[in-house]
Amino acid sequence: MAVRSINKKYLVVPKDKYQIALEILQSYAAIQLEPLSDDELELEGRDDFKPLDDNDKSEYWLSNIKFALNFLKDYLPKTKKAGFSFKKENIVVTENDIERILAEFPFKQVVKDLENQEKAYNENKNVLSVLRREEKLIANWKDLAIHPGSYSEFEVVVGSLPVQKMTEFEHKIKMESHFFDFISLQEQDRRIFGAAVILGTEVEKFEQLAHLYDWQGEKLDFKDRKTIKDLLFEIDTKKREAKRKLKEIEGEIQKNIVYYKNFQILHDYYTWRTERYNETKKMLATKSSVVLQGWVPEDLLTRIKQQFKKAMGDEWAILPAPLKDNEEVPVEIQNHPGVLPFEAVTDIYGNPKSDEPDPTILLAPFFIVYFGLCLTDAGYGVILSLLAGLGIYLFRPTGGMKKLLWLMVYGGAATFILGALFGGWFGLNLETLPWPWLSELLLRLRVLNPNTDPITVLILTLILGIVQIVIGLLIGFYWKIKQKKYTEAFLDSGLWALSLILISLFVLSLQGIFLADFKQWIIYSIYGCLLALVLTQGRHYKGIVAKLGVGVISLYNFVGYFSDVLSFSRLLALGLATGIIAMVVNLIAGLVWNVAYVGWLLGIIILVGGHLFNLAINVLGAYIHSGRLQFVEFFPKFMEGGGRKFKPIKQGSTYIKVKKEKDGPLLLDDDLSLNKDLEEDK
Amino acid sequence: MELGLALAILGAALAVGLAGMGSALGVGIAGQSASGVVSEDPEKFGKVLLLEALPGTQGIYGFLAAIMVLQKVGLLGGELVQISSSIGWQLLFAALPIALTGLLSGMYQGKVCAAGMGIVAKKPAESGKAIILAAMVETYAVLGLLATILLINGIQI
Repeated sequence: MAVRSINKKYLVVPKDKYQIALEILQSYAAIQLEPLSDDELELEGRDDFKPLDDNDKSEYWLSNIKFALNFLKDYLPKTKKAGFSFKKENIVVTENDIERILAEFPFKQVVKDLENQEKAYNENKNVLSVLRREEKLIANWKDLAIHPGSYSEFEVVVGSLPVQKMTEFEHKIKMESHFFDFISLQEQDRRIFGAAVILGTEVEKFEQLAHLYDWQGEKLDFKDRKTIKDLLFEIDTKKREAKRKLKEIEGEIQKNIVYYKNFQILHDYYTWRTERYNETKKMLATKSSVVLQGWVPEDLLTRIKQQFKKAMGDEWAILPAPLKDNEEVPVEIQNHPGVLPFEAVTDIYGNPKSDEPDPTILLAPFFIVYFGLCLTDAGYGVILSLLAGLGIYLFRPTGGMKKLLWLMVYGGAATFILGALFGGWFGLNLETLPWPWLSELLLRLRVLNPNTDPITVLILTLILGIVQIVIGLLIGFYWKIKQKKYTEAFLDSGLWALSLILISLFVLSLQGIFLADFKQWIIYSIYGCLLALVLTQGRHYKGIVAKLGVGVISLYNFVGYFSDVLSFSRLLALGLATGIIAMVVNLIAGLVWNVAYVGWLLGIIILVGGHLFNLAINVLGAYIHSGRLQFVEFFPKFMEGGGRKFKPIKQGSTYIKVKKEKDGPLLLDDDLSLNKDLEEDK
Repeated sequence: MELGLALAILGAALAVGLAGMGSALGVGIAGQSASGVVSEDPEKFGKVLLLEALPGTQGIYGFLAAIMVLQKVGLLGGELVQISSSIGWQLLFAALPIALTGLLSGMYQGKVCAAGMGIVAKKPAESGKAIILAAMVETYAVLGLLATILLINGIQI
């Protein structure tokens, strides 16, 4: 439950081993490198730094691997493909597996093969589509016994014209029959396809005449003059050949699918490698060593030192680095796994500053209660928890999505409890349930009915508001004390907290609920607080008038606190809204239930759809409004936020998850056990 | 007597109508920007849809208020309650908070959401912030709904 302690360090490592150092740092996500320049650090014996893997072209190979993955993806067996999108499970490998694949898998050759196969495949595909187009074109004249083109005495042209012009055209042709002859072959798409035999000298005349009848000529003059039928036969043979080749190439591609997993592993490996290479631009070097500057989490230092020692003996150093003026320390929050889901809320707002508390655990109890209050339906709570749990089980999400789903599981539980206490069960009227025993049980669980007694719930929400705001101020008080900012602690946080507590006590005593006999004393204390506020809040200003003036104006803050508290009334509104919409869904389902024959079906559709819809929009509302109460009403009492996120160089995972051997990543002791999955794939 | 019922219905109609108009405008504005984002990057559809849906709640609040009014006067199943014109006026006025806040907050929330699409497009990791910014506008519709619910609950028939 805290902001991770992260400090700026210089790391000095031997020049020929900087890669190992980087690998160690990356595998532990242990450093966020800051670019180091000569102005910052004067190095004796400064030397050019040429990264060792300059010629290694990891970026080039990474893009090749991406191509291979992308290309092979289309050839994956169907079930496997579905499995991949449905349930994203990372491939678990050890460092040894990666080493082994690098050593044994000739991926550069396979990539080349794949490239060639892709090329061949596309070429054949093109051939095939050209053939198909040709076939489609000439098929219209397939009954023509003679090849179109010029002969010694005459010319054969082919073309088509609209059906409705045919009669007129034929008539015209007959009149000129000593010049032309027309053979109509077939009709398709309301056009007649045919061929004309024309006396050599009259071609132009025919064209002029035919043009009048929307004649569309087609040039089908092939080199070797075969009949169209023969041509079609030839095309068919060629098509078959191309198809056969495609099959063959596909078969060859299929053979490479066994490497898919290897490519996935290499993809991640080369991603890390590329990242490491990119980081080298931030380093400086001397003749013999390389200097890195970056942010290192304190908790990882021991382990890094161990690993460095193992890999480089004593030839390295980790030194504290000075902070620049106003340099912001990157921030990462760390929480107990049970509280982790609430980071989904903190993450929306962003990180606290490095010297501020991590609000996650502080907001957790409030958030979860508010979430429940916004829904207050026990039935919805159960469904929400189940759905979120199912989501976690099926999709195995990671990162933000995992946190969010777990938060929903918690939220569902809170909703169940609060819903039962408030008597919310799918918006049903508990008094009129068909089973009296159930009705009695649920009514006994109900301690408060927000529908008939909204004012009590309203007061409850406002009390929650006051409590959270005072706690917020007290956290601010505690934190400032911890940082030894005593004046700020007492005057900016403490005094306001005290005032709010006193005012709340005053209200209670006025109602005769608590401390009724001490009313006068409380009032005097409040006066005292107000006076203290007037005297102290303007202390940063010069001149007595300004000091007092600002002090008086600061009392306006009470309006701010008042509106903060009122803002919590939204919990009542959202809670009521869920219940009432649920009721409306039931009502409408009840109305259609009486429709003949299909009534029950419509009713069920409306019930299921309606309640799911209601659940969806209200979960969204509960999430964002409970969150907002934290961000706007709670956080400003003790933090500003806007901390820079700690972004270490790390082994990001697209496909694989590295199972660490206990001693760290670089133990290349010869444990020759091959990863079983890999073996199976080969 | 008849007037009372008519006024109550007018109240319900205004709540649904005006708050619904607000939502329609809001979702419309947000939807236009959403399409822009999706045209560049279809994978952001989920995030964008969430943001587009936010101004939709006002219409639901209005609908909810209308149902409460209709139930109060027994128009939704059950006996039709005879209400005086004075009660009718009361119900009409009680429906106004959500009607008016729904109309305006829906519209303006839509604008905030539309602007928030920029965040989704350029900094997808920060989409949550766009949602919270939009939720700020919704506050007033929630308060309007709260006022309407309390008023309708308080009116004695």
